[in-house]
Amino acid sequence: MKRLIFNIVLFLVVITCPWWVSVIFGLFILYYLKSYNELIIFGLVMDIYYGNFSQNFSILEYKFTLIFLILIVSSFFIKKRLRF
Amino acid sequence: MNYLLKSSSHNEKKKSTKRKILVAIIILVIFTVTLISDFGKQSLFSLASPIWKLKSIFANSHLAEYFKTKKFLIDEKIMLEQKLFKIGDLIAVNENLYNENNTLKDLLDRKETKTDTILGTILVKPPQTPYDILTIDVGENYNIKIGNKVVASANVYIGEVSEVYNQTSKVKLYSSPGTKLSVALGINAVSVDAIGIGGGNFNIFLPREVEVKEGDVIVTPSITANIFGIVEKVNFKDQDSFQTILFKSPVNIAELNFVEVILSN
Repeated sequence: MKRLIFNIVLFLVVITCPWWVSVIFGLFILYYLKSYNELIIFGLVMDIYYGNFSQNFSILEYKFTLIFLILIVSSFFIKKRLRF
Repeated sequence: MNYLLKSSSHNEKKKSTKRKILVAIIILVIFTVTLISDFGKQSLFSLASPIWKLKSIFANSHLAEYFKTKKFLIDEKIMLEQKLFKIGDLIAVNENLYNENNTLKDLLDRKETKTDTILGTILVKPPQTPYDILTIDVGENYNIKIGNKVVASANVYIGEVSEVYNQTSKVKLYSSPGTKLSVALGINAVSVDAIGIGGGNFNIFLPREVEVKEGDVIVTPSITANIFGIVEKVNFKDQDSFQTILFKSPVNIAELNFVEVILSN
């Protein structure tokens, strides 16, 4: 239930707040919940809403997806060393 | 001899973790493919569009105006009256020159063609978007096409439509980082490439010999006078053979609420 509420709130934050607020809020949820792999989907959503795509496909154009992917992977290692 | 049996619960736990990871990856791939597809994008924009419209209605309703003090309003009125007095003169001169310009064009058989435009409300704008992208509330339903030019304040070109959805479109501003556009600089109309650097700002690299000063007007090359920017700063070092000209669009994107999309290019 908590996860679902976070998902809805994060989606609302993504579509109403500046991009950096979404990134900070996403980061907060990532460390608040045990695992929050859905964050990568929100990265993709942010790229679709706010991305600047050219005619040729390039993975580097999906900047938010890549940022969130890096944050999720790094959180696996950081969480092991942190005590909540 | 008795041996300790391997714990079956441990194996099951390992298996279940692997199964969970596999399911998560499959779900992720399905989501990604769905979202990247045209249907996924259309659905996402349809989902967000009502919320953006509601936000835009609140933003344009000027609710804060109801809470201003009487003194503040009087001061603001005086300031605006002074500003209007100064601008009144300029408007009269501008109208006179505009009419004269049109008469001269008529004499030379170069009549201005009226362009077909559609007004769009800005739903999302910087700083919500990081790359100088606007989302407007007109899309396929108003015959908007990719590449349609977008103007603000009647004749300032600000960008082009880059993506079109059912009821919304994305506009890539010319000031988006790395975007190049041919412009004419100053009274001599020197043809140069302006490069977007974000936030409504641009720069131009020019040889030092070309004389440029702050306040010079930059226009988009066309028969009509379309102001594109005003020179803010000219940077160079004594030993440099080139100068960097920084300029910004006369339109402040952050304060903009409406734009016009030119349907006939």
